[in-house]
Amino acid sequence: MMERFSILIDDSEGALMRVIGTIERRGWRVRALAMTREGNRGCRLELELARLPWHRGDPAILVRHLEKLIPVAAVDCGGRGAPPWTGQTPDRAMVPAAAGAGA
Amino acid sequence: MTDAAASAAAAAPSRTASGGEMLVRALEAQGVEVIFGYPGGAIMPVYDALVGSPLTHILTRHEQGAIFAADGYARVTGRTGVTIATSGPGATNLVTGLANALADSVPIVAITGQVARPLMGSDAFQEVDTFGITLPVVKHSFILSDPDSIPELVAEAFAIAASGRPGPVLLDLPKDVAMAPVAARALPRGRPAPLPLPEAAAVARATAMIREAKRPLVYAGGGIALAGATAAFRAFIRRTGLPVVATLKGLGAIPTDAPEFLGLLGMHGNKAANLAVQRSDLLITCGARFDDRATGRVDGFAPEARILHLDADAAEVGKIRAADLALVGDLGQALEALRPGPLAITSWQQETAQLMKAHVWRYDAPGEGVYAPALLRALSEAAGEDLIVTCDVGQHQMWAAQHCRFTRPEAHLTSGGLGAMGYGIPAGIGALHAAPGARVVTVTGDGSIMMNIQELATLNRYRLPLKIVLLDNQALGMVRQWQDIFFDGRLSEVDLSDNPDFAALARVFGLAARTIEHRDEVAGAIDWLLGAEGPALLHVKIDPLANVWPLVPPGADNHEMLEETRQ
Ligand SMILES: Cc1ncc(C[n+]2csc(CCOP(=O)(O)OP(=O)(O)O)c2C)c(N)n1
Ligand SMILES: [Mg+2]
Repeated sequence: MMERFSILIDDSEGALMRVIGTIERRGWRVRALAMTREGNRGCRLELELARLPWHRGDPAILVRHLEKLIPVAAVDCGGRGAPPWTGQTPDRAMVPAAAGAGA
Repeated sequence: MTDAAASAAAAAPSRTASGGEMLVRALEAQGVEVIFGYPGGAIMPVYDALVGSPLTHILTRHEQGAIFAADGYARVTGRTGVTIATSGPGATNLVTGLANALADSVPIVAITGQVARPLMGSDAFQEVDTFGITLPVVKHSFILSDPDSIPELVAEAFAIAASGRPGPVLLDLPKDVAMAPVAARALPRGRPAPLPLPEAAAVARATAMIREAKRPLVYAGGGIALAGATAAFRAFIRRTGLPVVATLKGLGAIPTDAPEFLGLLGMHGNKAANLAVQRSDLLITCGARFDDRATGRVDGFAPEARILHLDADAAEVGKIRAADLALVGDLGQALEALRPGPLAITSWQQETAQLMKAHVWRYDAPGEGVYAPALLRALSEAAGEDLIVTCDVGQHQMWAAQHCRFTRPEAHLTSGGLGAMGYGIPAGIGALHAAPGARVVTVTGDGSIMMNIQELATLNRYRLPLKIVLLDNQALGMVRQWQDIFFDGRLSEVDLSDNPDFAALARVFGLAARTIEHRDEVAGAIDWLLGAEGPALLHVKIDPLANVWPLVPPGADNHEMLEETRQ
C-alpha cells in the first residue's frame, strides 16, 4: 500500500535527514522522492511511501510525527493526521483554567 | 546574567568575547546554575570561559555520568539540565544519555565540542559526525556554525527542550567558532511555547464520557509531572474519587498510599491494578503512551474500555491504541476543566477496593536471608517524605517501584523508556544538586553499579551524601529470571559470582560502606545508612534465585500474571 506525502521543510541543517529518518524509523520506506525549492518558504518534498508489512503504519500517526519536527512547516497526506477528536484549532472557544462546568 | 547585566552588555558593543565565552554567558542568561561535564580538546575554549563564570561545573568521571546527572537534575527541578562534552569520544559517550532523555521526555541541552569548521568532513582527530549520530535520539539539534548566532541558538535550544513534550537538544560547537571573536550584546532568553488549551466542546464530550462510564479508571503516566500538572491531577482525583493505576513514570502522581491508588500496572504491576484495567469500561489516560511494558498484549489490554487520552503530544494519540476522544495540549488545564460532578461509581469503587484487599503485597517471605521487597519498604518508610529514590535497571528497579512509598513523582527517578543500566548513581548526583537538602537513595544492582562505578569518585570529590543500596544477587538477575522462566532454565552469561568485594571497593573510593546478609541486620543497617554523614553504600547480599512477582509474560494479557508459588 503506497501513500503520497507532501511536506514543506525549511532549509536548516539536517532537515531532509530528519524527515527521511523519521519516516524510516516509524515503519515506512521511501519509494520515490522529489524535492523542489518553493521560493523563500523552503523546500517541497513529494514522497511516495510504502508501509513495512509487519508495521501498523497508520499514515495519520506518521503525519503527526513529521509535524513535530522543527524544520517541518506543513505535512499533507490527503487530509489524514488532522485530529477530528480534539478540534484543536486556535480560533475555537478555549476553556480557561479552573472555569469548568459545575462540581 | 541578570537583565541589567544583559543590557549592560548590549550597551557596550565594542567589547568582544570569544564564541566559547558567548556560549557560557548565554547559558547564564538562561538561568543555568549547574552544568555536568567532562573536558577535552575541542571543547577547551568553553572550559576556558568557565573560569570565573558563576556557573557551577560538576566534573563527572565519564560523559555518560554527566548526562545522566543532568537528567536527574532536570527531573527533580523541572528545569532543563545541561551537559557538556568534547568532540569524538566525548560526544559518543553522551548518546545513551540522549536516548534516555528522549525516551523519558527529559529536557536537556547537551553541548559538544567539534573540530574546526574547515576540518569537518576530513576525518580529523576526534572528529565524528555528532550531529548525524545523534539525530534519532534528540528532539532537535544545531551546529553552531556562526559565532554571531550563538546566543539566539542557545535560547532556542532551551525553548525547544522545555516546550510541549520535553526532550534533549544538542548543540555542536566547532572549535574555531568557539575561538572566534564575537561582539558582546544582549542575550535573549528562550521561553517554552505554551501548549494549546482544551477546546470547550471536547471537554464537554470528555465530561459526558466520564459521567456515562460505569467502571472508569485513570491510567496515570509520566506526562503528569512533565506538564507540572500534579496538583491539578490530585484535585481531579479528589473531586471524582476515580481509582488510579500508574506507569513506572507515573508513580507518585498521587501518593502511593492514597485510597484511590491501585498500584503500578503492567508487566510487574500489582494484580489489583492489572485486573482493574482489564475490567474498566473507560480508561482516562493521562500523560501515558500505552508502552508495551504497561499494556502487555495490546489487543488484550483493557478490552472493554473506551479510551479518553489526555496528552501534550498529538503523535501519541492513536499510536498504539485508538482513542475514542483525545484532549491534546495542556494536561493541567484539561484536568482543571474536567468537572463531571458526582459519579455513580460506588459499586466500582467497592470492587477496586476489594481487589486491593485481595492482592496486598506480602512481606512474610520464609527464611533468614534479606527479603529485598521488605527492605525497600522499610527503607522508604524510615526515610520519610523528602526521600528521592534513583534506580538502576533490573529486578531491584522493579522491587523499588513496587514497594517504595512515593508521595510525589519527582521522588522516583528511573530509566523507564530506555531501561539503561548505569542510570542510578549519576541520577542521584543530579538529584543532590537539584535538592541539596533532600534524602537521596540510589537502589542499584551488582550488574548495574559497575556500569558507572567511576561516579563513586564524583560522590567523594564533592562529598555528596548519596546513600546507595546495592542489592547483590551475584547475577544479572532480571536476565537470569527470564532465562529461567522463558528459556527453560538455560543460563547464559548471567553469573556474577566473581563480583569484587563491593564494600571494600566503595571504601577505596572514599565512601562509608557496610555489608549485610541476614534479615535481622536490616533495621540497624537502614538506620546506619540514613544516619551516615557523607556518601555511603549498603551492600546487601540477597538470594540469587529471588524473582520479581507478579510477571506478565511477554505477549500475554495483563490478567495472565505469573505469581510466586510459596509452600
Ligand atoms: C546498558 C544495559 N545493558 C544491558 C541491559 C539488559 N539488562 C536488563 S536488566 C539486566 C540485569 C541487571 O543486573 P543487576 O544490575 O545486577 O540487577 P538485578 O536484575 O540483578 O537486580 C540487564 C543485563 C540494560 N538494561 N542496560
Ligand atoms: Mg544483580
